[in-house]
Amino acid sequence: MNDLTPNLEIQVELEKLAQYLTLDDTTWQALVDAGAANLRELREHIEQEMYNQHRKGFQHLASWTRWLSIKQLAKLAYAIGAKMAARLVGEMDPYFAAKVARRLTPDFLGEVAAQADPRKIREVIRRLPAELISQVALKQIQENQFLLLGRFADALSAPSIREVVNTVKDDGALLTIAFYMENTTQLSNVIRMIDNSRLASIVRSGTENVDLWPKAIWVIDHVEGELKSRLGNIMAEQDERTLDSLVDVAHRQQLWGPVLRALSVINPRYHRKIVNLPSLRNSAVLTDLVNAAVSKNLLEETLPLVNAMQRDYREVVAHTALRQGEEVAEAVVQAAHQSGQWDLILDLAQFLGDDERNMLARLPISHNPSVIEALMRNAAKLGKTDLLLDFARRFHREGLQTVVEISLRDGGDLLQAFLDAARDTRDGWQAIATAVSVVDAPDMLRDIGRIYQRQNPQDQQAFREAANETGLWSRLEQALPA
Amino acid sequence: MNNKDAIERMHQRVGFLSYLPEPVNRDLDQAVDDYLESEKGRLEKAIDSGIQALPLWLRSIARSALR
Repeated sequence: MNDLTPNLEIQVELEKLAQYLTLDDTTWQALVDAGAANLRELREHIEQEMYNQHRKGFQHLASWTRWLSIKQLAKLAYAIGAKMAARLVGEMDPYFAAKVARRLTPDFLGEVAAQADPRKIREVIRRLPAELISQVALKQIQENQFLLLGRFADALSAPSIREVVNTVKDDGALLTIAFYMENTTQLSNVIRMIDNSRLASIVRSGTENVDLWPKAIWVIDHVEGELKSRLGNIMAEQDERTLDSLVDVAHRQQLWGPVLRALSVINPRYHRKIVNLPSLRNSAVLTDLVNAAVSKNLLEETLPLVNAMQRDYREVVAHTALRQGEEVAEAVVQAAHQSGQWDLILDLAQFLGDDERNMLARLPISHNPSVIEALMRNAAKLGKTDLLLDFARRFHREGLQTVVEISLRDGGDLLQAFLDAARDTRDGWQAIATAVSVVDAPDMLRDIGRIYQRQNPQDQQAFREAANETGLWSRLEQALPA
Repeated sequence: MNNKDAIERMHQRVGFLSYLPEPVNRDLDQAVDDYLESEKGRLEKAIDSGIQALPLWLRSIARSALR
C-alpha cells in the first residue's frame, strides 16, 4: 500500500491491517489518526477471531495425533494441506510438532508458517534446526514476505538468527525483516549477534538507499542503549553527500524524532560533521528540527548538537527557535536550565535582535528566581555580563528585584562583576542603575551603598550620574554608610 | 444485524472506534466481517478436503470435531 503517513509505526500497522482488510481511501485515511496502539489492537482482535475459528476442534484433533508416528504425521501434513496443517500444528505439543516440521520441505514449511498463528507456533520455531529456518527465510525473502518474516524473527533462537544472517546475503532484506519485527527486545538480541562489519554493511544498505533509510532509522531508534549508539556511529561515518540526502529524507518524512534520539547517543566526535551539513542550512529544515525537538521532548539532547554548529548555523537556529513563538522559546530555556546548558543559551542570545530579546525577557520562565540566578551566575562566569545587563534593562520589576537581591548575596560578588562589566558596556551604568532603582528596602540600599563606596572615583561618578537619571541617587545617598 | 448493533459490536472489538466517524466505523466493521467470513470459508474448504486425506479411523473424529 502507499504511504499514508510519515509516522512509521502507524504506517507499519496499516500495512499489517491491509493483509486482512479491503477499505476505501477515506477509511484508511481516517485510521491514520487512530494511533499505532489502537491499530495494533484492532489487528490483534482480527487475528484472535480468525485463529479462534474451529480452535476447539483442532485442539481435539491434535490430541489424537499422538497415536500417529512422526513419519505418518509428516505425510499427513502434505495431504491435508498447509492451511489445515498450520492450525493443527498450533495446537500440538511443540516438541512433537517440531519433530514433524523437521521432515517437511522449506517451501511447505513457509506455506504453513504463513497460515499459522505466530503466538501458537513460537515454541515450534525455536526448536527447528537453524539450517531449515534459514532455507525457509530465503524462500520467504524471494516472495517478499517481509511482514511474515518480521513476525517469525521474533521467535528465532540464537543459532537460527546467526544462520539466517550468514545465509541471507541481501543486506536490505535483513534490514527490512528487522524493521517488521514486533518484539524490540528480540530485535536488540538479533542485532547483538551480528558482527560489526556485517552490521555496518546492513546499516549502509539503509543509508545508501533513500527508500530503506526510514527503515534503518526506525531500527536504530528501537534498539537498546549501547546498540543505538553503535548503529548511530555507523550511520554517522557515511560521507557528507550521503548524510545530506538522509537529512533531506528525514525532513520530508518527518523522521526528526528518531534521528535526534540517534544523534544524542552517537560519539560526540561526529556531532560537528553532522550538524554542519549543507542541508541543515535550510531554514525550513531547521524549523522542523526545532519543532520536533520540542514536541518530542528532545531539547536537552538536541542542545549539545547546536553547540557543535558553526557560528552562522547557530545564528540561524537562534532566530528559527524564537520565530516559533513563546512556547518554544520557553521550552528551550527550560531545557537549557534543567540540563545546565546556559553557556549555549548565552551564546545564542548574542545573535538576537531587540524584539527577540524583549520576548525572551517577557517569558514566564524569566520570572523564575532559580532561572534568573542561574542566568546571572553563568553570565558572570562566562564573561557575558554585558549581555545580562542588556536583558536586565528589559526585565519586569519583579525580575529586576530578584536580580538585585541575588547580586547582593555573598558580599555582592555578582553586583561587583556587573559594575566591572558596565565600564565596557554600552549603557551599562544605566542598566545597573535601572535595575537597582527598584530597591526600596533600607538594608538592601545600605548594601548597594557599601559596594558603591568600594569603586574608584571615575566609576562612582558614572554610576552616580546614571542613578540620578533613574531617581535612585537621592535614596541611595541617604543610605550610604558614614 | 442493524447499524446500531454493528457499531456496538465494533465498540466491543476495539474501544478506539468511538473516536472515528460513523461511516468509517461502518466501513471498518463490514471489512472485518467480510475478511473473517471469507477466511472462515477458506478454512472450511481446507478442512473439507483435508479430512478426506486423513486415515479412516481419524476421519470420523476430525469430522465430529471440526464440523
